[in-house]
Amino acid sequence: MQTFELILLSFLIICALAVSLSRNLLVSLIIFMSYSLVMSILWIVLQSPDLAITEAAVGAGVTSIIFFVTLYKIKGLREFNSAPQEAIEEETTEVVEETVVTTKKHHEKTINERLQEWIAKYEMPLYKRFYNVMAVVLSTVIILCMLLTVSELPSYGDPSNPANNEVSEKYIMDTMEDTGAVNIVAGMILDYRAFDTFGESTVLFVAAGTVIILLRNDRKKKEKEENDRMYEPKPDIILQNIAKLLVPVALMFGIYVVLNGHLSPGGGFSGGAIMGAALILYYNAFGAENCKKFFTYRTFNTIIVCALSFYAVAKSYSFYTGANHIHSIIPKGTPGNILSSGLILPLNIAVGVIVMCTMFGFYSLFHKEEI
Amino acid sequence: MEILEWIRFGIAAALILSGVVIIGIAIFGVFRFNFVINRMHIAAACDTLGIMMILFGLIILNGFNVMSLKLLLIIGFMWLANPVSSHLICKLEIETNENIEEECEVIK
Amino acid sequence: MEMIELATHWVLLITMISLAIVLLFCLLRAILGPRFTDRLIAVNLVGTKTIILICVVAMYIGEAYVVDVALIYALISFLAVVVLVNVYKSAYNKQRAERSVKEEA
Repeated sequence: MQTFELILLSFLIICALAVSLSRNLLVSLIIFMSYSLVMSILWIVLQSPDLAITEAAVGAGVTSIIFFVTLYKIKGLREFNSAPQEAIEEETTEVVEETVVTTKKHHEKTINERLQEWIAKYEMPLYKRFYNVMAVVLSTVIILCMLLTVSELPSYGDPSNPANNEVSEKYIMDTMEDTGAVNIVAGMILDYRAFDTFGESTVLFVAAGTVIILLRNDRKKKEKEENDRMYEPKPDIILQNIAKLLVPVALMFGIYVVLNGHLSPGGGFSGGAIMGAALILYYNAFGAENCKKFFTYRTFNTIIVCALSFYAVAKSYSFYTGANHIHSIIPKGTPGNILSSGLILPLNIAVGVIVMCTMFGFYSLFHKEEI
Repeated sequence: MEILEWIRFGIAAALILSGVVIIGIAIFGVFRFNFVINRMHIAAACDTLGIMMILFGLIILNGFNVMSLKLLLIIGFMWLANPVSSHLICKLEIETNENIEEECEVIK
Repeated sequence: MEMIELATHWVLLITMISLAIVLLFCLLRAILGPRFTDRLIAVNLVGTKTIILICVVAMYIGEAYVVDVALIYALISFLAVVVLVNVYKSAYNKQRAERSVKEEA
């Protein structure tokens, strides 16, 4: 097992080096995605399946896809005919303006003039070399400081670590009776600290709203449609037939992960990302026109506003009752059933729906500037 | 009975190890060929077969479980999705490579 | 019975280590490959190896709910290849159209 972990960790180090040292943005993105894939295996080996599912669905999935579409939007995909190592680099070579000295009368140049000439000739190369050397020195100093700090951390798995104190013990013992959820993480984020999750959902909502304000453009429709139709790739029959089979399966799986948030690892965020990924697959296979038949701008607005206000109404009583008052009207039920654990199930559904609409909205806005 | 357990373990181990060997052949082929279309061909075929053999070995090792059902679902999903990915990559290569006529014959 | 468990443990360990080494080689192809399509093939391969590795690790440590993660990855790697192909093709068509317009002018 040790050898296995060592090989995976060296994979991660090589990935990180390759991402920072490559000159082509597209290559960096692809290697970044494979970094995220292998990181998920390490989360499982470290026994945190919730993190593994979220890394899979959100990190390797939707985030990488949105990065690709962003590159397309800012026209960063440049090198199409040459090998990517010869990509067009954006380094601007400094052109030192040469001052033409017209010597009508031959006179010795004063010290001031000679100094000016020397500065104009050697300034740029000296500055570049100084900058490189200082960058390397500074990075080495910072890396040494951080490594020194790491070597003073307590050893891994020690029972007397500060992480194993009475706070985590109380949560581990009391979660099943207080909230009724078998999954301790879901009980924490949606019952003990539900107000923080409300903040996270609001952040998603505000981000979607900002992107809509900046990018949504529904004027000049005809000219845009003609242009886009020329450049869009023709729909592929094989892909369409397979998508007809796979998109329902993916949606059902996303709904399963959302509904089982309090019983097995998963929950609202990863389930919502999976549902968003299924919708993005449908959008890619069938085109934007077919997507608009069931997911219009109005649907998007209605769903997001309703879900967020439901969450706010359901959990805002904690303003008045204080921090630890977690009992609500809905009964807790027996742990292990689906209809148990009080308010966690409806809140999971609300969070999942918000995340799904946000991810699909981002993809559609970046790709085509409309929903 | 002891013999039955050993037979079950034997079949599962044979399937898993042959799956690993086939995946090794796939990665060896990706490095030896010169053109993209050849690499894609060997990667797609051997990859799909290898994953099926390893997951069948795991199903036999597990018995009748919910986990075996999920593994069966993964096999089904992979066998539908992997060939379509290779088809899309091949189509992209033909349409964006300018010197494709030198490497192979394209029938439009 | 203990012999069978020991043998299973060893078989799964050998599988995990060899698959991890294959993963390193796939990364090499992603860094080296001169064309963009090479890197796409490498990403597809890394995705498949990750799915197998997660299933084998789930069997090794005995937890059954980990297989959900593998199912998610199957969907995600397929979706990533589809999106990349579409995005790259659109950008290529656009640039070729602009280049032909520039050459005419």
